Amino acid sequence: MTHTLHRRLEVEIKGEDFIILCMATQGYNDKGAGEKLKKVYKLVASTNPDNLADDNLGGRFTGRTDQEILENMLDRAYVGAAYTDRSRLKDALEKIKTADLGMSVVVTGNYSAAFSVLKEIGLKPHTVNMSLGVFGKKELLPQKEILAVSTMCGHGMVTKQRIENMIEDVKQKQCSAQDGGEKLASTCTCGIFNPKLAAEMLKQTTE
Amino acid sequence: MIIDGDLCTGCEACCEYCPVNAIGMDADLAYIDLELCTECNNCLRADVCPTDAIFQNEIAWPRSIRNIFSDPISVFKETGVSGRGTEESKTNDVTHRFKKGEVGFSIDVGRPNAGGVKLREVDKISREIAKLGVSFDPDNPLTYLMADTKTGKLKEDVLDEFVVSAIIEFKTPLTQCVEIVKTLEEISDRVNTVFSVGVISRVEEDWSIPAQIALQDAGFPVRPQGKTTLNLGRCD
Repeated sequence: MTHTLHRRLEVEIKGEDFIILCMATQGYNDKGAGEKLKKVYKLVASTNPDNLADDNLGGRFTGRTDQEILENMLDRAYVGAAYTDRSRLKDALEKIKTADLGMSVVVTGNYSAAFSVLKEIGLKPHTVNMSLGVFGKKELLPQKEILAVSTMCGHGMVTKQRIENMIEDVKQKQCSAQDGGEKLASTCTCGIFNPKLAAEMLKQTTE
Repeated sequence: MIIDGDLCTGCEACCEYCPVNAIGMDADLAYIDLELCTECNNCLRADVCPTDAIFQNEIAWPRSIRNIFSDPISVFKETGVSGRGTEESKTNDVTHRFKKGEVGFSIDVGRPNAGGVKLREVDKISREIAKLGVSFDPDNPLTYLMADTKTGKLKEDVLDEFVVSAIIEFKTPLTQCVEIVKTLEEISDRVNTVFSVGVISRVEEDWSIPAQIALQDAGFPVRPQGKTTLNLGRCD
């Protein structure tokens, strides 16, 4: 899975784009990991993320409550959380570091910003997965404003048609940009789609 | 995935949820084009049908592949990992799958938003890459579909299966990473889809990234945003 890589927020937008993923390694440290990942979920929830989910179960914008997710979390859970600023990202990482649960943690975002947060709290990068961007028949791609939103769901479940319809709804004042961003998040089961950034994008496209 | 024409009211609420435009309207009723449907379940999960007319019918091999590659919560039973690929770099602090001096590649074919891709297009890329002698990741669902991992050729009966996207994963020595990217650039004109390229590298003690330096020097700058696995995972 590379679902948080290749995000294309290539438009001027208010807010940064960070994601935390936390998981066990199947076949190595997954036995009993569910309980540890529940702790991570609670720690991350306390930092007020913009989205939060276990990608096996869905998340806050897919109609699940934190309670439901915690009650059903398995050893193969993936906790995913999205942030628009580095102070909350830092808060979450510090809490996970202090809890010392032995689960793997991945931060997606601008390298220079993410690395400076890691330095501040005494964490080290182990491995990176870097994007070289898009190859092939690029004329198939939607316009950059659509890509900025759609690529926040790396599984492609926030569709071009839905984003276009949402832009129209916001233009026609049938819903606010904030509601639009949250509605778009409803098909991303992993918690990595950031509804705040989507709302910013909708606002900008419709103004 | 099927829409029951007797239950459908023709409200069109489901249409916009299909990532490959497989849901159409005929005589004011919605239908799913099964040639295009990737079995991603997005329309069903969206829960927007007022009469519950959308339902998952039984799907057999090789159609079942569509679901494995396209539904984010589908689990590949051989590895226990959900989604189209492996845990790749995410758990490298525990697995050490990618060592210093090695580079991992994830070629995400059909992404972003190309409207779906036939595995025949994926096969074009995997066969070209195989010529460079790479090691395809044995845990990747796509590698399971190869008739021969030396040639990268996919099994004949899966080539026409249509998916949202599929990931080719392999690793190479660091010294080969520029050659791989040049090959991917050459293939670009020959495929009827897009693909997104991810490059995995260990981070040195001084926080430098060897693959980033090699690619930058060869004129392939990496994008400023990407994934970083921290040094927090362990086996107790």
